[in-house]
Amino acid sequence: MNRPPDTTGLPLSGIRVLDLTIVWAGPFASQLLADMGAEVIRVESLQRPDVNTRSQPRMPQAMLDEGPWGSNYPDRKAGDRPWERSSAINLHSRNKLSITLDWERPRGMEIFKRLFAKSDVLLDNNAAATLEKLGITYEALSPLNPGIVWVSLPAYGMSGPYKYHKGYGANVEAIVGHTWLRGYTDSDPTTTYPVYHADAAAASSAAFAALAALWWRRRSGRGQHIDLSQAENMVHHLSQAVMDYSLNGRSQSTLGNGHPWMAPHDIFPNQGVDRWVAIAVANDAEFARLCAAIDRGDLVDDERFATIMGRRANASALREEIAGWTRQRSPIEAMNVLQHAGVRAGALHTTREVLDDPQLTARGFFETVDIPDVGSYPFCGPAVKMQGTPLHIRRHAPKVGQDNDYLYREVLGVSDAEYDELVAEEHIGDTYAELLHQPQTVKS
Amino acid sequence: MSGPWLNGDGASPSGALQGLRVLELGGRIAGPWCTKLLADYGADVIKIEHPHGGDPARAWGPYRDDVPSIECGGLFLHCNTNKRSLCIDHSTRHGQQLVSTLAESADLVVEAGRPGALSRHEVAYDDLRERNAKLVWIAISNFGQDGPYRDWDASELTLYAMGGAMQTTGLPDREPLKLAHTVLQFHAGAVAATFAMGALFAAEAAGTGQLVDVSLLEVFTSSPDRASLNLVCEAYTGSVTFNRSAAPGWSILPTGVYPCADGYVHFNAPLISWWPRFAEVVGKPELKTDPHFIDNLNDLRLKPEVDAMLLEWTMQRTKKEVQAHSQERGFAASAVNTMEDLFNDPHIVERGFFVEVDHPEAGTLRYPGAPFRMSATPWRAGRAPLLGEHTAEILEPLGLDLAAVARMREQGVV
Repeated sequence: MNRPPDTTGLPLSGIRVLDLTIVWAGPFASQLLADMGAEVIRVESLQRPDVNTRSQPRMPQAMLDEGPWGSNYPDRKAGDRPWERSSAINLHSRNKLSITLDWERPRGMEIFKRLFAKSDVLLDNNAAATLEKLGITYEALSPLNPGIVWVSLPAYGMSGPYKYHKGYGANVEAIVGHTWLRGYTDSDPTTTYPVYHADAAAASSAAFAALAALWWRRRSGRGQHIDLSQAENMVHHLSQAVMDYSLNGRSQSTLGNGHPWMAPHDIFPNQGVDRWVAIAVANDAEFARLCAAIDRGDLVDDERFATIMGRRANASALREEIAGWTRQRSPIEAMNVLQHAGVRAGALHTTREVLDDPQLTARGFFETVDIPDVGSYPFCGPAVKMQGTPLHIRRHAPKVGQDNDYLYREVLGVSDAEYDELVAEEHIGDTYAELLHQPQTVKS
Repeated sequence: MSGPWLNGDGASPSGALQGLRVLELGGRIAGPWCTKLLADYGADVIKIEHPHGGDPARAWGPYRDDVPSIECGGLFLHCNTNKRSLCIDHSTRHGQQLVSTLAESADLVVEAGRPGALSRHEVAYDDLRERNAKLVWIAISNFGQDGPYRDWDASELTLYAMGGAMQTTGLPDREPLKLAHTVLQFHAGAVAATFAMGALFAAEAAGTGQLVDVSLLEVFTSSPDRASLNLVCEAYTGSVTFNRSAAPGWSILPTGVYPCADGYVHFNAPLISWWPRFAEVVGKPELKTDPHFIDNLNDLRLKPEVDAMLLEWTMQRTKKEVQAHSQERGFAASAVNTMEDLFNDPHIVERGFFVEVDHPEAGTLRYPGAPFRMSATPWRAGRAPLLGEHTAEILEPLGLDLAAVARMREQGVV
């Protein structure tokens, strides 16, 4: 039998997580649990390809040959099974398992409920209506497994006027004020590009919530339902602006690359095109070190720059003085010189430079994963190093239905005869039904 | 200082993490955010602060009327609710002994600071594990406990730059931009809390604790907000999917921020199959079957035409109207809220998210409420401690009477 790698000794070994998550925030929440050894099972179906999380089952090659979207596929080739090649699935679903079942048919729902009864945690970040329509709610199913820890992390929460609103990460950013609080100081929000911090924020909080509830279950024997509004959760991350409103009734606007009190606090141009180094100076002593490092001791004596207030008021003049030095150096050279002088500086690394970064490399942060039919590539390893229980990428992201054999036969105890029926009914399989029924377009 | 319990079903008198004993050292943002999550859900968190000013974040504001006060900084007040403050100088012999004694009965230490700094005072993990084998120690640092950058200093800005995401945020013909304030350090705090819980499960199973090494750079680099995905794309193809030269969106459907009558709205159209919804939103159902568009939904040359139709419609409506009308038609549009809008947003208000908390020096303020609501166990709305507020209360059970505490105070230990 094709069994998933052994997790004995890992922190969450023996904890089974039903992963109903899609797109972004949810899969990254379950990644944190999978990296620590939980048995995270992606529940997938052959009838409804998960286009937002894996890929369109058929990607027009012309869309990939040029432009940013194509970089999500190795060598810009979607291949016959793009849903197993795309970047996101291979990033966030390493260490997870995959089962296929079609819960829109009674037999699939029955299997789902059997698996649910044997699980410890359920994670779901679907729009609130999606699972309700199927009858998959905490209220309906928890009697089958009162110990279940069920974490719902929709965009806005499980109640309230926006419960059924469509919300992706960037929508949440708008509602909580992050879109308003970032951007260029001399422009308006139409020049802000979408960012997805709300997804990161929801992922880490949801994983923590699941474990806090499991901790309590160990002591009380009781499960519970967690309502995590991605929006409310992210409000906390904007603390300085939220508390300023609370204290002063002041609605902050963007600081650009500036800081409420550090100065200078900005990025500076380097040699080359679009190359930059970030510098942050918290006090006069750090400013003196910066001036010495760039051989401009005269700036310390310049009364315009003697105090934080002065450096803030004369920011553009100071910026030109510092840029005179940075323009003659590469970002990495500038960072090294300044850091060795005790100045907070960071190169604006290109993505390639991050992969080659000496610090990340020395700590073995990137792990090379060999993915059959995809290739061998480096991925970010677990976010944190646990010295007593080292964490690694144990297995690549699952192919669709990769763990059917183990989950149906060993976990659910399905007989050979029943297994064969489920294959025939296209609950169990490894290829989407719409492709199976168009054999002329599928190369085996 | 613990406050009233909210949410939950009343069956449990306190939070999910009741009984968990936590020490916090070092302060700032990621560490306190980690321990705030623990404290608000029931853990007993002792915040060990240096007598000279305490947690550095006490000096970071924002302050009422911008007047500095170590008790009233908004960031500090928010990140330290439900904790007890113990003022100790752990560089003194007495201070070391107090930290060691407290660590003997703690489940978890969350420390944020320069790697190696605590070893000098014999209060590092290697010193304390001998007294408490099950102790879990979360060490949060800029770059991790080893490696060539171990001793470098950093800030949110420089770490976001080094993690590679900053090079990809902003406009193509302008300088790159950071995210607002310190959002990634908050994420790092929540990541640290997650791995702390994992290490506590492992300690319970194996009977031994461990050191958990949290590098802010590594958390930033593995953030789902574009950094980690771009790294995969780079490895796949030598180019990235999110960058400053990419057009926002991948079809002619609106994705991004658009102006409206009283502000701005964010539209998000992840799938070209949403075209009929767009037609409904702008009140032109005939567009649903117009071959000029439906045969060319990926042709970005048509985008200005589509944007013009949308703008003509949005500019006659408020952000709330645009949001409501679009969402009723299944289109992911959201008002771009200011802080004032957020505090008055009907959804946030109806869910009762913000809570009022009283503080002896800062007064009654509105704070963000539970980051998630647990159906059985409650979350508590408490306040941050005054510097050293609980010193005597914490030291007395250790056999130190008030006279001894007073002597230590004179010696500058507490």
